[in-house]
Amino acid sequence: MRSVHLIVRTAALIAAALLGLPGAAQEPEVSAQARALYEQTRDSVAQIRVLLGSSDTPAATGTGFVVGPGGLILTNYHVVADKALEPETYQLEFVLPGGRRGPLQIVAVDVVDDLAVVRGDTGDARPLPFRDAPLSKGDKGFSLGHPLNQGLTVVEGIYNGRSEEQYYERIHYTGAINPGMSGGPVVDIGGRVFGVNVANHRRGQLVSFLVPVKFAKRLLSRAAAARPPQGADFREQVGAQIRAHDAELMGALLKAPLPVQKLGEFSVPAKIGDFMQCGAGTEREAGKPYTVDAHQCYTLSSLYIDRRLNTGMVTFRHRILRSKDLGALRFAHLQERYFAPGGYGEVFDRRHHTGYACRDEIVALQGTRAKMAMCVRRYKRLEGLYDVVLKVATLGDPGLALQSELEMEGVSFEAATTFSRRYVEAIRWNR
Amino acid sequence: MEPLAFVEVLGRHNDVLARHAVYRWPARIGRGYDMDVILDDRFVAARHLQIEPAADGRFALTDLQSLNGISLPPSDKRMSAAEVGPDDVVRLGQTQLRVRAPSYAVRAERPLRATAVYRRPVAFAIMAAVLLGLAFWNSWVVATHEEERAFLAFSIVLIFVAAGIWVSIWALVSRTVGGRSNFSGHGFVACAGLTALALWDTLVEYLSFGFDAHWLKHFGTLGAAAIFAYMVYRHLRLNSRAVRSRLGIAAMIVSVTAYGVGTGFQIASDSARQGVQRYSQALKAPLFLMVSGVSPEAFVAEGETLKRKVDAMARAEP
Repeated sequence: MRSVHLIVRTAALIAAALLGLPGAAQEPEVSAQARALYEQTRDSVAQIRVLLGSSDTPAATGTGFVVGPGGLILTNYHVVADKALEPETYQLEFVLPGGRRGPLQIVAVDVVDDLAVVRGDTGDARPLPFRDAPLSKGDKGFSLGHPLNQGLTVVEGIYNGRSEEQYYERIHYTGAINPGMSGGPVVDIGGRVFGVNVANHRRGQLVSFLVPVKFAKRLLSRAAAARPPQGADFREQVGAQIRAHDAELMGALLKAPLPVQKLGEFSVPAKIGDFMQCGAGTEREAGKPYTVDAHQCYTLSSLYIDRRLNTGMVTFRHRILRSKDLGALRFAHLQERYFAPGGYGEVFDRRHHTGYACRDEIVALQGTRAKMAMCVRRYKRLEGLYDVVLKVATLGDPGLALQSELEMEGVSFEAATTFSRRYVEAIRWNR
Repeated sequence: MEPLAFVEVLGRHNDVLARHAVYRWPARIGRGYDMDVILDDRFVAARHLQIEPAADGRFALTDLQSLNGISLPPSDKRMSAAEVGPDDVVRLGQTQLRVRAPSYAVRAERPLRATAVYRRPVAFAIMAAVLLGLAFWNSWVVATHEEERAFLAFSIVLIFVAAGIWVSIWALVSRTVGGRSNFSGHGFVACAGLTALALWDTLVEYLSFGFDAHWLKHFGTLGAAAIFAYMVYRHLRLNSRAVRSRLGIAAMIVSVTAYGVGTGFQIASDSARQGVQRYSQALKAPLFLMVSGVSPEAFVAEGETLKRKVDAMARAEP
């Protein structure tokens, strides 16, 4: 009798050992990791709601996470932009997973890296630790946030190094970051924050961007010392940061002589650095009596200021118009169409800008005369910032013309003038 | 019996409304039925005026103590007596009179001429054809796409419909006031006026482009207003035989009002479109360019004036 029990128990042990082999247990281990991190960090991740006046329906939502004692929460600037620029109109609220909620005050903002530090009464929610050591491509990350009102969600992804496309330093993260997750933390397998959700690529899938944690650390140390009054408006800070950004961008654009490229019979300004993206296109339909060859470049430096204002970009575009059998008169009329003023169809928000002031004149360029127009407008609530548009239409030939357009957003007037001069002096017709 | 003189009752433009012969001196004029010339004016006394021959073929007038007296227009001064010649007008009450002797020498008769050329339908047709030709030529220059052609054809039709309405209104006024509609005459004036405006506009555009002179545009607007005023003046002349200077003034008032209203609309729509960049986008063929152009630094440096403008705008409306 006792030997039968022994055989059964041994067989059971062997069976258990066999079932416990690593190969069979791969799948549950990964999701266990995500779940473990989720449990570890979720009490520190809050939903941030932007409320209009005293209503309870949010105008916008985002995510934030506790980073310091005294209820300091980190999120994106664009989540709290409305409150920063119009403090009387909007209110901020946080909601922690346990149900604890309360109002938020903005402590400090970083418009260029799209971060903000806010403060609320978060009780004993634990601040999340920051990661110090750099990551390697292929390292795993876990992003937390509240996508599209789905509740707190954890999204597994891969760290793919610095994004090559952005003017600002951003991490390229392969994971599904959706609206609403903005401002949420991205942690490594040890639960340490290495990035903050900021955006995803409009045209891609799973191509997302994070703000590297070093910028968060920088902002946090600024915030620790700041004590802004309740309901303060941050326009001055935002203005100063845009001016600093402009100084840096224009400095980069003006550092070296303007590079020049040949476009047909013309020499025109060309791509200036890695932070500019360029493209070309052509209109050559068979039925049309003219062709248009276009080439444009823009800096990838657009800053979100508030829901109706993006600024900070420098764009230029060249078009070569060639007549096939239009006469001189009709070609001139075609030129007029391309030289037409812009601004139609745009919403004019008189709170942000003054109207445009423009002038036009005939100018002697290298190798040709041209008509040029310059338009300027000034930002109203941000000091010392202008939008400048420059347009050129050459008048050297009855069937061939270059039309060039330069647009600078959110720049100081001196930098705009210097760059405009270099731009115009770089245009030449090589006959 | 031979008349001794003729007393003529005149209308507002010195046209003769009635002519009364006078057979004895002194001739007496008034509203009463025992007068030599009976007038039908409530402001004329029963016995108002007496006429007698004076020296040199002139006539002596005496006021017969009427309530309203007599005067010699354009003066309003009341006179108790006056001496008038064959071209002088005397006013009594609301009536104007003139006295002429049978010896008054009239000018030779005028040769009968065919209707003035410009009033004839042929002239109207030719001018309309010219205007249509201009419109088509302009649309050919402007349309570089097929789709635009349809749009432009439609706008030409609109212009002609509008012109037709304008001419019809003038013809109607003509007919009501003068009995003749003068449709061809008005049509000619309207087409000629529109053609002149179009040519003037084009000339100003080319000149202001060629010399890079923006102020020419304002000058152009004044010229256009003058052309419009002259057009209205010719329309009025077809209707009325009033004194030309009066017509001229009327025409100027009409065109100043029209241009004032137009400018008002322009200003109102401009301020509504403040987000729009406004500069002269006119570009013509290079051979029309007369100036050599400023240097790029000079152009960019002038941008300072723009900065000052927007700074002032920001200060005015924070």
